[in-house]
Amino acid sequence: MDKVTDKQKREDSLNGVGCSRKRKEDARFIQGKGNYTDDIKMPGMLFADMVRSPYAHARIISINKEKALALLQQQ
Amino acid sequence: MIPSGFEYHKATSIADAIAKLRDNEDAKLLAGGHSLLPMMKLRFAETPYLVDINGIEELKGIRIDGDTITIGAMTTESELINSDILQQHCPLLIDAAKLVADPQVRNKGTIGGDVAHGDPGNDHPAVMLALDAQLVIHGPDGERTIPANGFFLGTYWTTLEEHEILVAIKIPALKLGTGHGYSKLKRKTGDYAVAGSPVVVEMDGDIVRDIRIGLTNVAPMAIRAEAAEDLIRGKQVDQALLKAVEKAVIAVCDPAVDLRGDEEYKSHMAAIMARRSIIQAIENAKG
Amino acid sequence: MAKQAVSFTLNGKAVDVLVEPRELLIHTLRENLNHTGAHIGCETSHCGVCTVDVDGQSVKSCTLLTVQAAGSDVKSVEGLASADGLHVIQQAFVDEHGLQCGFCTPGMLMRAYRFLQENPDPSDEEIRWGMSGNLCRCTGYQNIIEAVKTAAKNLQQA
Repeated sequence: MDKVTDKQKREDSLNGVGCSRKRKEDARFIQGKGNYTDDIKMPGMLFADMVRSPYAHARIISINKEKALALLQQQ
Repeated sequence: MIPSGFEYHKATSIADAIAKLRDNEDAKLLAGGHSLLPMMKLRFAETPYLVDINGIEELKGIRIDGDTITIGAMTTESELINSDILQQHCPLLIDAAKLVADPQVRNKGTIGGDVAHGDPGNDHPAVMLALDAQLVIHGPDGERTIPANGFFLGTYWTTLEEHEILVAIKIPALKLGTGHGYSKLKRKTGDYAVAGSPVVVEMDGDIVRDIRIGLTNVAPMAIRAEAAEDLIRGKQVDQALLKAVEKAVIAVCDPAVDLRGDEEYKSHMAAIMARRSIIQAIENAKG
Repeated sequence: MAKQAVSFTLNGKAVDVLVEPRELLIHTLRENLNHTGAHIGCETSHCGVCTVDVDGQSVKSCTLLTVQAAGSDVKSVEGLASADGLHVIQQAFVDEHGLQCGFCTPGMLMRAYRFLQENPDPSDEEIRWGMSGNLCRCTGYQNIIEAVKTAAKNLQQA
């Protein structure tokens, strides 16, 4: 019993330093409402994927968009 | 990330499934889907027509008739683990199933898929060899039952003919004086084997009357270490004999070199797994 | 390929969706049905952050076609809490600090939910084996084990 009271007294006098706190963010994580980046949905939102160069050192001669734009036509 | 497109049909019977395989070029079967779907998601596999065999009742169930256990090909790893029949009559299969992947995968993955897919990393083929199992196959030309020994030809290559379906597996029930062992080395829980070895022995007192040693993932397909078996058959096992057995196991290994290890390492580990399983099998033959 | 109508129950409510056969359940849940609790964390069916409960079994929803869930009873993390508050398991994870970034947590919760029905009084070893299909990069797993133990105890008292 004494241990608890001492601990409590100590914590009170430190004004919060060193005491245990429950996290605030758990409430939404634990219910699947974490709102991570991929969870975000906005009307009219677009998606981007990066096309990286397969060459470490090269000169860009042309950028050919036809195949990529054709994907937009498919559904 | 997602599979390419396909038509989907949920088969209503084995005959229906075979007909769909026959009538649709490059059609594939969907069993548990935990080998096929990951491959399709990465676009390593494609099919224009997917035949889902999850609804076919004749493919499910475990039963025992006299000395033979019959396991439906669509029996999941979880169902194997929870089977009272297997607990009593073929615990080796449960030991192997428990070390396949993880609980979620085991709820879906089937013994039929694991055997028929042909991935050298799959755990059940070597167990089929150690158990001297029989495979029941249905196809457009009828049914056939063949020994598992000889079914596995190479990577993703079995003796399944076009449009055939593995329907059931038949295993002899555990006899008195028989023991089993199972050892699987893996980098982490749920991984494929670095090397695995199921062993079945039949004892005559301290003499090993018969032995079958299966090896997983140290060759293009599951194999038996027959030369090692010949060394043991008819003898009492001691340290000197086990050393010779290890050498014989290493000699028969032909593992792929990958992040799990190089040839020397994997072969050596196969020998250790076989050794452990042999000792375990002899131990529990007495029990 | 042509879309087909699929009906199933999600957290007790009937849902009807129109999907291509190749659509995975995880995408149907997250995109069509706006249940973003289940997450996508790998491309190899290893991580388990997509774990949901289908017909009484823990399943990785990234490795299930939506057409396979036709007629099924699906539960996701959104269905754990009730009007009376958090589920015992959810509270246990909060109390035992069984989460940090929270990304793996829905999968952990749905797996723990089913695992504790399969094994209501598990040892630490059994918890580790039973939860081995769910990976976590933050916690080092120890507090997750504690959370499942606490949940087991509290469920038995309930």
